[in-house]
Amino acid sequence: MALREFIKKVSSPVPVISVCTALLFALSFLIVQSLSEEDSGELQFWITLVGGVGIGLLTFFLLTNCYSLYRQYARNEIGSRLTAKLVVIFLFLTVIPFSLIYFFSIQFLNKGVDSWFDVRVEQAVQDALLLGQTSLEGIKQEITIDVENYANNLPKNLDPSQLLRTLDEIRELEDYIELSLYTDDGRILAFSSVDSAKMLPNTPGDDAFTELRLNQTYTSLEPISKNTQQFRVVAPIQTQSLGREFYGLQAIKLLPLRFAALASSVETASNQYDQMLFARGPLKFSLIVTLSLISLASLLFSILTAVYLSRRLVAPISNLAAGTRKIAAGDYGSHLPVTSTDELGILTESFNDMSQKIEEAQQVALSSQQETERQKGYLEAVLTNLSSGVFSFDSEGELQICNSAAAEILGLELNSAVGRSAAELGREHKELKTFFNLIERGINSGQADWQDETTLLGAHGRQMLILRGTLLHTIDQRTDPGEGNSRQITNHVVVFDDVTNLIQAQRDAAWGEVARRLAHEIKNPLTPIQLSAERIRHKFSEQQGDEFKHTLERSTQTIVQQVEAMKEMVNAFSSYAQPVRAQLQPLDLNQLIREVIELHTSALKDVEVKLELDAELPLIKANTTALRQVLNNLLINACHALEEVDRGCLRITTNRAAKVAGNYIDLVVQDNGSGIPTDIRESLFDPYVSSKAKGSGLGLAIVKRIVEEHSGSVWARDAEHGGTEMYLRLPINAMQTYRGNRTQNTLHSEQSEQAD
Amino acid sequence: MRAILIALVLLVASPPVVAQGFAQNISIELSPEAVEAVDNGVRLKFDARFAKQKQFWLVRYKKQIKEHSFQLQRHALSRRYVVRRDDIEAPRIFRSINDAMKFIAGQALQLLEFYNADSPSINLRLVLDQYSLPGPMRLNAFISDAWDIDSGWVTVAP
Repeated sequence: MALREFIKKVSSPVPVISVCTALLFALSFLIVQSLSEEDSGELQFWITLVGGVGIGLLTFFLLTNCYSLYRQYARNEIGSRLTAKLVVIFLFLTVIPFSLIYFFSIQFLNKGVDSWFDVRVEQAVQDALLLGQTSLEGIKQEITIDVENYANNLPKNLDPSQLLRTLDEIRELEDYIELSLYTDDGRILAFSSVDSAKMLPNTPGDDAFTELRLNQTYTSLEPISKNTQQFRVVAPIQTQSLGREFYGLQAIKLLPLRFAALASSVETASNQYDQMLFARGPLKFSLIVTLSLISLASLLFSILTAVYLSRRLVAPISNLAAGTRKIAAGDYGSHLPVTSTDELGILTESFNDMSQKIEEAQQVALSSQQETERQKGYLEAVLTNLSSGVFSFDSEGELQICNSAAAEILGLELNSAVGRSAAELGREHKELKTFFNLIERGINSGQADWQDETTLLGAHGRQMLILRGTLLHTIDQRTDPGEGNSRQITNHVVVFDDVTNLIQAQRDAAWGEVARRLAHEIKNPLTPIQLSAERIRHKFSEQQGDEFKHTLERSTQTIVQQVEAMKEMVNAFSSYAQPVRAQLQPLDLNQLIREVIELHTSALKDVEVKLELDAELPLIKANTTALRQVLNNLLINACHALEEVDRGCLRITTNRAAKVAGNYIDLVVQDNGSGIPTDIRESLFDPYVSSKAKGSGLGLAIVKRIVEEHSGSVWARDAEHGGTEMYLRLPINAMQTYRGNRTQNTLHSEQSEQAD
Repeated sequence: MRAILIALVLLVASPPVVAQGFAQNISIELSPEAVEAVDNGVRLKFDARFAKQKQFWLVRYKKQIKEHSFQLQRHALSRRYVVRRDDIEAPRIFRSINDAMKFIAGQALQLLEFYNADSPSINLRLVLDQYSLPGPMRLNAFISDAWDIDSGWVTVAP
């Protein structure tokens, strides 16, 4: 990561531009130095080194930029492809003309350097040099002849003082600056100099003594300084004195000033021209190398500039693309940097404005949504805690809201019900078909408010439901470009209550009141009436007269019998009105049936009894006493129906109700008696309805009441081959969940009565 | 890493090349390119660098104490080679370039003996100064071995 940051920093334009600037200056100076004769070679070396390093840095910057661009391209980053295209375009625009310029510059450089050297000038310089050499050669010959003459004529036997004087005379005569006498091994014998303070002569080199030993004259033109040149001539003196074979007379004479200046000028010009001629190759090499370095640096700079410019050009577009992607992904409010004032800058500003407005709108929508969610949460909380079931159907008739009370009342799965229409729900839940048919009918009626009621044999047994439907009109504020700004939506809300408990409680209360009144108003006077009748019979039984006695006996007997019958009727009615007051307990219905059959053995001695009891019938929760009474009433009715039948047959069947949702058992008591009279078929289970002369008409009413107390249902129909079939459908787990509160209410009522 | 350190210590601790004898010959040879350059008027500058051997911990190094320069140039009019020493005004003239180089080497050795008389273990190195070459030739000289004319360090044994 640190390396990437470093590369990113060094690849930024500032260091690149700095390096390029320094590099261009350095290379420019290098060109100047390549043509210069100044003694600044060390500086030139360092500048060359700096140039090489600078090009290396530029190459490094270019590679890092290219690598960075490649990585962006490989990652498919926004803008990388456009940047790469622009770089390639810039590259073409740069490299092709640059290559042409470089090629022609090299050609021009070669031709230009060659053109500096003219053959005529070269010849002139050589001629000038040759002329100078010839001229100097003449002067040298003259001096050489003079010195040789003096050497040959020099007396051999002079003493040192005479010799020195002679040398002085000769030096002054010939205008030598120094005249000296040496042995051939280099020893100084005498010397005379213009500079009287000079202690030692200007000794010749080894070459001179070598020549001397060969008895040859040594002559040499020696440059002393820039414009001063001297001739050195050493002439041999053949002698045998002092044991030496040769002496040498050295004369040094300055070249006349005019000749010296001209000779120096020719020498300098010749040297410079020769040097330039010799350095032509290296000069071309230097210039080509420098030009190549400059070209390479410029090319690298151009490519880097192309990369930077491409990135700079593409950056706003990349930002816009990235911002658009963010908005598409739901990240609103992104602010893009505005880096220019041109059209791209205006576009970026417009994008920022748009993004800000979208964000504001999103914030408003979010707030609205949150408020809606809060309201929805509140509504759901209300609906959840509502004891009434609530359905909400949308305009398409599909269920949108179903509160938990509705699901509990109907035994529905919340998730499976939502999104279905009433018709679909009716088809899926057969036991609720009536219920959903009512809803569908209410919705299709188009009425603003409707109400209905129905009785279901649902998951919890028989239920009486009251439904109220309301048509709601809401306005959809969402903008629909095709249809206008808003549209009206119709929803249906159906609220339903399970009023089974309420009705049952009302019924219980009503019959309880009737029973209480019967007990107080009818049953209580019956005993005094009966006692009074018996007292009358006892008091007047001793009276004479058979007719009177007979009449009295018959009348009082009738009164007592009727009072007894009225007591039975009141007791039966009281029994009908009295609610089931015991706790439900697990009951083996098959066993109960067998016990009741056993009790009625004598009454059924002429009847064929068929028990088709399901061995796997589960235990049901029921009041044993109450169900025993139910079975007694049914068997009594059956016995009464079979009294006038020759071959009476009673079939009792139990099984599990497989076709009904929920857990139910069916009990069927079938006889082949006279059947149900048509006139009482509709009111068979109402109190005081009976086809028998002596019947109280409460038997089936009590059966119905007890079965309903167990959340079951009972109905009757004609048997297939004559007779009657009594169907009882009882829940296995009655009142354990939903109806439990009714049991509690009953128990509370019982406790209250006991307390009274 | 350890091997590198041992090699480094052996390198710096190894004795320098010591010429046998009191006044050793110093070998410096001009390349054909250099000879050609001199014959074409290019002035060559040779530096005689005198350095004293120093040692800091395990590192041996040479500290330069004196430098003399010699300039070799061809005199076209006289067809001679001229050698000038920086501290002597009078030039020396030679017929051949070899004589001139011998003179330069001899002068350098004399100076070495002179400096060694005062302070032993002085080293001499005679080297062509590439920086003093004419401008057009420098770039070529920087990268060409032909212009890397160097005698290497020589010294005299006590």
